Amino acid sequence: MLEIESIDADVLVVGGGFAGLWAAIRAREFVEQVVLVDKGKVGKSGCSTLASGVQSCIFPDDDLDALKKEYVERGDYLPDQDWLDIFCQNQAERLRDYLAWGAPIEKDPSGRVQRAATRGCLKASVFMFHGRKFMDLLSAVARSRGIRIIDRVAIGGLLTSDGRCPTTGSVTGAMGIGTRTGQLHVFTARATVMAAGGMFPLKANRIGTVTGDAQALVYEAGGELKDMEFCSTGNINCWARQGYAGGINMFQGNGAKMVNARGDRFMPKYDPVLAERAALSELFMAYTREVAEEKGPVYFDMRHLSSETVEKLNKVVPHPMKLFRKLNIDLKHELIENSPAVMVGSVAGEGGISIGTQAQTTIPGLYAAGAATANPIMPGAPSRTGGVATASCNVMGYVAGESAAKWARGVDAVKPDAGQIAALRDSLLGPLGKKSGLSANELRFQLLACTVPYRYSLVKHESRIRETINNIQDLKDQLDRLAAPDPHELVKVHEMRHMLLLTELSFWAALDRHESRARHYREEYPFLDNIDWLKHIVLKKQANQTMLTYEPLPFDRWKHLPPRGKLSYPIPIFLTGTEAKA
Amino acid sequence: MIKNIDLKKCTKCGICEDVCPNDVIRNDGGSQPYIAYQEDCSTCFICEEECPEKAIEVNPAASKIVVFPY
Repeated sequence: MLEIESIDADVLVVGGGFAGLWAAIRAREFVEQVVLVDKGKVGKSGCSTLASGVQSCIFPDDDLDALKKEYVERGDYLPDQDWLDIFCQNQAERLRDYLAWGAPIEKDPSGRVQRAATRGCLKASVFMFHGRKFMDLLSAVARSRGIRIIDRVAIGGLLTSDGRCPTTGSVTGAMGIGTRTGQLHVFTARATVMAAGGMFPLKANRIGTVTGDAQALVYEAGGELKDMEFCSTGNINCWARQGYAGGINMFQGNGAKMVNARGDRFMPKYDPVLAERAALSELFMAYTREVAEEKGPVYFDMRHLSSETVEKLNKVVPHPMKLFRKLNIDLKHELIENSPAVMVGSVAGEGGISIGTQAQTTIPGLYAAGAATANPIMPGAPSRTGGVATASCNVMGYVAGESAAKWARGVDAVKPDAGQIAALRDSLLGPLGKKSGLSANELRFQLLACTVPYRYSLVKHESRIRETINNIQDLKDQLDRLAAPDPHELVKVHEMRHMLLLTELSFWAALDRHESRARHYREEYPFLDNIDWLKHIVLKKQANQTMLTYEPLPFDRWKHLPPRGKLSYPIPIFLTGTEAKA
Repeated sequence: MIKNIDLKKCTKCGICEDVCPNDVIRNDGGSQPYIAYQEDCSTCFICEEECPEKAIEVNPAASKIVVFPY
């Protein structure tokens, strides 16, 4: 067996996207040894690399109060208004940094940042950045600052001061597996930032490795997960029933029209103000209604876009544009069928690790940022308003990096507990060597099959939630059969374990929330309940069970208050029983 | 997903193996690259874009479209 490689750090950052890189960059301003570890290749993997080219565009002299008010309303009153204050200030600073670094951002002819409209909102605007080049730049900045980047190591467990998970102590590091080598890596860190992205089981669009590892490990260590019922994502789309790509935000923001199979524009009916620029959740419910009423499928009509716009799209969202070219789709003359790849999962922190305003978890020494968190800036549906998903990752990363570094400066490193290392080594390497049985990919397809259809993922109902939980538990029973003939497959086994855990937790939370809000829709409760449900659901591991508690939204301290009473969910859909047909 | 690596054009520069986010391509330490885990390809096109010899072809279609919510 390969020897264990030991790495020391003041701050360990797990995950190298926007959140992780900003955490590392900021931490490095306070401490010497910052190590960033990624399961893939930093700058080439994860959601940040595919991000659909937009981030919230905020300047200090914008009407920040109006912006915050809009975010609170568009977030169905879930946003943490303390975090919104931090966000508005911090994102303006990050934009300033990007400009100072010469980041590839669209400018108008006078050289100023081009502000663009985006979906789901009227006041907020976005700036557009050039796809992959942006991540290349950010990762180059991190490297140039002396941050040690370790690629292709999948973190599989957290190390704790008491040698146990769940812990009553602090997090003192982590252990990972080389995805190609199978070598074990033990990281001893005075503070750890979990920024390893969201969770979803689809391998498309540069994302095969975003599998909720951070959320699962924090949960196992005894940290809190929050907003899991909102875990519903569909930012990726299947185009022409053939290939997957994101970028829908840019298409929405640049005038794309959507029509049903009859050629009718349907969005103005559902959202008279925003029409095709509706928030993503509204878009999906609208699609679903059209399909349920047998008027599907849905097409994008971009025939009218100017050549300047198309050129801009080629730069800002090169991936979907390339996909269209390769599929021989002529945007100028053809409609493109669009089917959102709805899944139970998170791409921008729809639900995940609960953090406070310093990006701290409930476990000392452990911080979290980005899509791995329950995004405090736009909970429940971070992609509803364009640009917030990516921008909030910058901000959370920056805050987490600073908090982690300051914590690190005040504590000594703790040598890993030999017993914990041995136990982790056994559990991580255990499945290695099995040659027959089920493959992780096969189990993943089964997970998709029982969670993707819209009656499970979008239009929830108690009976179907319970059915899904049973299905997931059956899949969990199969984990022991997973074959892992090599380190690559071994990592996939653990990814499946993480995804099944998180998906099941998501459905338990969805079962509990008796209302509809943001990306959580219950057809038995087609209303926002601002009487009983102005609160988050928090899940925490206790012994071998999951404890469910509530965290009320502190409107006594906040400025922007929700309307009282029950509000209709914008686009309700009824599939079951005697309610009015969709 | 990744369809083919044209070994006649390949100069064994190692870039494709280095950049693939999903560890689809291997070259066993500098030898000729091969598609080791085709099913894990997420059709990101990075290998195709970064190959200096244009030796890699990526089919835009995903292998198994399972995810239709409707």
